[in-house]
Amino acid sequence: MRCAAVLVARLAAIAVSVAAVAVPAATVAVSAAVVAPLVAAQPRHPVYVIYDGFIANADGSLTLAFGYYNVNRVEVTVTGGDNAFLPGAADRNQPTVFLPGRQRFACVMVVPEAFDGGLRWRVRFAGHESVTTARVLDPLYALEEASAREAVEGIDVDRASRGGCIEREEVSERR
Amino acid sequence: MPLSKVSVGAIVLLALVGVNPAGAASNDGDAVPEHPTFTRDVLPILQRSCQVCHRPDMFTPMSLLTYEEVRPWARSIKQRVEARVMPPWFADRTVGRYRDDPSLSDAEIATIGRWVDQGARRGNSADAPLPVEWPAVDTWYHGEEPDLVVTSPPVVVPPNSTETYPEPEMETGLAEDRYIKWIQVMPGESRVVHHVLVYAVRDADDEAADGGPRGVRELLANRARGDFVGDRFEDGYARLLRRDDRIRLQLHYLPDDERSFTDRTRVGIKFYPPGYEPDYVVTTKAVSNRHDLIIPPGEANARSDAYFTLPEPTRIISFQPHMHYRGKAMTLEAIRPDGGRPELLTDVDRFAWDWQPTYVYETPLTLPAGTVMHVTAYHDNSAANRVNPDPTAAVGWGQRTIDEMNIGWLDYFHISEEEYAALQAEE
Repeated sequence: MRCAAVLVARLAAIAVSVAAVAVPAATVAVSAAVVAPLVAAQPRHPVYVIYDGFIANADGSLTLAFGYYNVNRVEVTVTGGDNAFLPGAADRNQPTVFLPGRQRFACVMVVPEAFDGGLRWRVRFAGHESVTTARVLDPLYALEEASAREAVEGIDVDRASRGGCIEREEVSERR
Repeated sequence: MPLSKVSVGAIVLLALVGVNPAGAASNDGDAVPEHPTFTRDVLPILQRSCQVCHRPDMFTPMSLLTYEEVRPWARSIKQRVEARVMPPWFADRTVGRYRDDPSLSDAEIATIGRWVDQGARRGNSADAPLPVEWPAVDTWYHGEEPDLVVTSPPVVVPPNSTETYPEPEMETGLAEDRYIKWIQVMPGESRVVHHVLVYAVRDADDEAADGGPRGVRELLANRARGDFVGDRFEDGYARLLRRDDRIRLQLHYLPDDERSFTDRTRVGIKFYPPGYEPDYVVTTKAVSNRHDLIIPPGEANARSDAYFTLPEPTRIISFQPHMHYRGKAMTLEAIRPDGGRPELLTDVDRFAWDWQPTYVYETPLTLPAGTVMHVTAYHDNSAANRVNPDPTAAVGWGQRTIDEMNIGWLDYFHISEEEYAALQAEE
């Protein structure tokens, strides 16, 4: 169910991204493709990005997991500079369509052993800026076993590319 | 959750060990001695409300049995009781009445304050009440040996390691269904045990055939930090442990910063005699709303609400708030189906994550079918919260201590419409 919703969201995101080519780069829009006509709620509330935690992998690399909480009752789309990782590459294949409510493990990425912890996800929406914590390597953020299993479900950590959010569906197909 | 969760209340223990704290200050007394002394005025307060935890070999940093032990801490004690940090009882004293309430009256706090301000004098030895004979730390608290003890396998908790949640399962060996008189969780290493949930679990083939879950679990006990006495059931209601049930523990370990610990947690259960049938069987409900829990970074007063509708006339035994580091306050309201104003049942206006007492109502609350139980939780994610591990993070629901929860545990049992009507007539 969750995968299906994510897939729909990603398709919607692609549609909006394509449409966004002709408009200013930092497009913030309600995803018209997936909002039912009867939904009257307006997305005026923040989207909070949340660092879910990390998993220490056997080869020394780390798996990082990010999620979010969209306070709005409808999904929203945030792209461009309003949806960026810092520092380094801003676009790390992170979600651009944000489903309502809490979504854990929306972006799971593997970083090399030399990773220094300096990576944050920033989203600006509805006049509010949310940035994940800087305490990426704090042991308190180590994911416990059950969450770690859920975070990497459908992901081949060993074969995943480094430094970007992994597409669960693609990885599953490849396996 | 229990009838007598006396984690911070000494009264029941005093009764159990056969001690009458003669001269103990009344919890509701309003007289403040002009020149208080330790032996006459302060020691009775400590015996009633403090020594249950503050005695040798307990997890507390100091013993408060004697004048010599208390005197060096006098100013600290004054500060802590005046701030109502100690004893750890955080329900508003003007809302509801509770069993085993160890909280101090305004007069008792003023007595301690005046005693300290006047030099913390010892006083006359002849004024002192008899010392309380506290049971040994590693003994069962209800004055008798349990009928059943289940012990978890050893779990090593290395320092600075990831929080873990092992769920060992054990057979009970029961030959028949039995009703629980008391149940107590005794961690081997309290320092690293964040909480223990004790479940009765069993297979449920009929539900599995319908596509439902392959098994049923019922919460028997919930031990949070600061609770070391357990649950006692009496007055005609009890918990049921079925013959084929297994005991499953959910152990949450929060590693220490420096030392490694190996924990073996025990659960002791005392049953009513075979054949005993209580009038009512106690059920536990976690009233929470994990999906709507979002605590913005820096927010000092993040509110979340949860609701639970009583399907039948019900008597509420107890309420226990459960949150983590950022927990600030929690209230329980009843919204009756007659459309009247919500009724505030309990107001825990200051929550402390390391002390999570259960508030057991002096008399179970009687509510009609259709009443909505409303739990309101408040979290403090600001830097001013000194135990907040990360005020820069947005926080949602999760198992880890760094995540949050907003659970109001309710213990209750259902009654018939006729019984409800009769109780209403009495009230």
